[in-house]
Amino acid sequence: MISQLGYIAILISLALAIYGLGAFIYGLRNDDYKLINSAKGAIKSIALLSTVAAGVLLYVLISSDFRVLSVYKYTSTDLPILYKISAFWAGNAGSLMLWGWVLSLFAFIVISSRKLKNNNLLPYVGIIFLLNQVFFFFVLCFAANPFALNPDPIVTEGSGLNPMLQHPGMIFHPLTLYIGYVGFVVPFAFAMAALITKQVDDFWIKMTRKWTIFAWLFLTLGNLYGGQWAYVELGWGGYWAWDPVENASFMPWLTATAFLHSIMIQERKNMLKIWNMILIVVTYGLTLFGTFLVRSGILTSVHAFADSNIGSYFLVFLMFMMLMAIYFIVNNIKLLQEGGQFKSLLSKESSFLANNLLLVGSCFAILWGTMFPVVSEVIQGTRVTVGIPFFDRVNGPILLAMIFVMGVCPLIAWQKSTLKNLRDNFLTPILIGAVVAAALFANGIKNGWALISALIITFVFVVHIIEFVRGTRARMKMTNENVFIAFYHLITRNRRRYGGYIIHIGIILMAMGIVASSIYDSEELKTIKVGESIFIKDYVLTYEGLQQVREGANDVVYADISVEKDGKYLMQIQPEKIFYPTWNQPRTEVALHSTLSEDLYVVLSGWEKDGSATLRVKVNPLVTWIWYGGYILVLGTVIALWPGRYGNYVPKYRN
Amino acid sequence: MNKKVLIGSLIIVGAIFALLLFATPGTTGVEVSVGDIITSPQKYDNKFIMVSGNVIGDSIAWDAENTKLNFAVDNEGVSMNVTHKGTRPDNFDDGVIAILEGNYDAENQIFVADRLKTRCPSKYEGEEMNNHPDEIEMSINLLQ
Repeated sequence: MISQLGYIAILISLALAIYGLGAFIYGLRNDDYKLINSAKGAIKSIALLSTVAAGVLLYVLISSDFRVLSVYKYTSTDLPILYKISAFWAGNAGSLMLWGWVLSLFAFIVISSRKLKNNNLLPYVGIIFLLNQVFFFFVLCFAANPFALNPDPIVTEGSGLNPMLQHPGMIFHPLTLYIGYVGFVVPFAFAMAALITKQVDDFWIKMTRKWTIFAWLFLTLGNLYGGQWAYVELGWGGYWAWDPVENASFMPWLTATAFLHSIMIQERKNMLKIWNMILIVVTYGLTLFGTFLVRSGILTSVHAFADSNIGSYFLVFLMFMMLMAIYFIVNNIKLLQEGGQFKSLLSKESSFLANNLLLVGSCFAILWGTMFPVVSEVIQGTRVTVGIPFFDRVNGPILLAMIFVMGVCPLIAWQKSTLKNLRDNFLTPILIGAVVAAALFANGIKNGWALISALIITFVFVVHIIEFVRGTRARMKMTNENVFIAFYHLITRNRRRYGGYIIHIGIILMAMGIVASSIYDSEELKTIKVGESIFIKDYVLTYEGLQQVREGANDVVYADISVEKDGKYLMQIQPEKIFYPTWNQPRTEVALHSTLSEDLYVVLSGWEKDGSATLRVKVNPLVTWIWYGGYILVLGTVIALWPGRYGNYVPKYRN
Repeated sequence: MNKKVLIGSLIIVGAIFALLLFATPGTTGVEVSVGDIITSPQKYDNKFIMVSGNVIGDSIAWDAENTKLNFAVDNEGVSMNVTHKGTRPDNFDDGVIAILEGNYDAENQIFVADRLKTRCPSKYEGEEMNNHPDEIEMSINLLQ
């Protein structure tokens, strides 16, 4: 049976990974190039085999072969084909298969890289990759087999995919997140290789810079898609609840962001080497830690799935890798301490350091809040719960401070700046920020946080706009190009810097959206009869009745609601509940009317025999800014990553 | 390292720790079991607590007019009444694990849940609800 082919593929992959590990180690010890090359061959073969395995899993899913347990558990014959495909990562075993497959592909790409062909770092990089592969394929073969057989092989229909996962967000969210997680294995592997070979200058950073940004982009997308899915799918009206599984994907994002900034300092000034090592080790560790959290059941969360076996395997592997990394860092501590120094408090380097401390501080605070229940139980015996207010209260100021630093940094020069310089550049943006805040205040915005946020966000925005304006003007003077061409060349010839600035602009748009929707959201929850209305902000929603309709294999019940805004008819809005034939519970389909200024968000919670309906209505300001900010962020990253000349941002400081 | 930079860094780190220290007491509660609450209700009077239990299907009562959900949960043989002002979650059924946050009203012997979250037991390792897909009716009139 074809699924057996899949299992054989991952079994051989495990064997090859163990072989490759041995071959690299012995080959290095005995200077045996044949062994080293055969280990590289093993990595390439594993990539092929895991692709075969992934292909087999996809095949049995699409062809609804219910003899395979995963196919039975997560699909049904009437499932649209896109969801039969995304059922690949719907369950534990499948998502680990995805991880293993992406890992094998990335290992293949790195090992086959022409730039690194005869580089002495490569065998050590290979060892780190293989260590990861040994772990994942071991778990896949013996603890979470995606090709496990269905004990009841003659069943003709599957259980169906959980309706909550039948949504585009659940196609992209796991994919992008895992690509992000696995992407960070690459800089981690190079960091370890650099430590082992005692080549701790910035070569390993240069080689992995694009991987770091690529992985960071996908980690960002993974977090964004998760929030967006929660918003349009779960129906509670929000996009982030500081749940442990959300924190698990946010924490590595924070340290990764710190890392991709501080490696610029190492490239420029040859400093912060220990810090960079620690950051990449922590980032890699957090990607594994998050997976451990979600699968071990030690935390009470809507997402925690108790399977203590897999959880403990992850914990053991994580501890092993962390101890190994710490050993290598400590071994090289003298070497890592050499390099440049901070010359002045008022310098770009220090502002990068401040940004780093705030990012890592935020990560620590989130870790604290997430682990506090576990720790308190061990120490005190009582399990403490940490609610949303904790995370909001702690992260609000930290992230706001970080945004402020993001605005100050472009204003300060490398090495050393003067207070006068700073003041001159600071004045205009901060004044504009104050004007905006005052205008908001005059228009009814009285909340302190909202006003300070508006001021800081505007300040940062203006600073970045000025950077583009100044740069374009300077270029026009130098080259006599017209404004459009100068602007275009400014960006394309300084991709790292201006790509980075565009990313910052994306971030502050998201920040504005988050602040506004957190502070100024309104909600109404009511059961009303046909003909009655709900009043919220300047909307009047009149409930006109319930309808039922067939959509493919599903039955859909929706409420027909007419919406008036400011006294004028706006539109019909139809929140739904979808009933799937293979699932006991229905899925909520939120009715969303999004504009730049706010979202009208309506959920049909339930209905009674007399036709009255329970409706949850929310008005969330500026939510679209979060998603648009995200798109701009992606644009900026693509620009920064674009290959070719003119990539270099950081001029090397020559003493 | 430059002294000013070191001091600046310590200020940032110190501020973050201070934030943590001040925020922790006011925003944390205690997680207890249903058994703890029933045996000593006075202990948790006026305290914001979290408790989880299995929903008892027969006890679910939805008061639409007041948007109140009343039900009972049990855990390790002990059961407790709960009321929650809000909506009934989509997957609210017998055996679903309910995670409640709120206060226990000892006088009326009912847990007032400010927040209600649910999760299906071992979703990843699939002990699905009793689904017999071959027997489900394909067409249902749901508005009856």
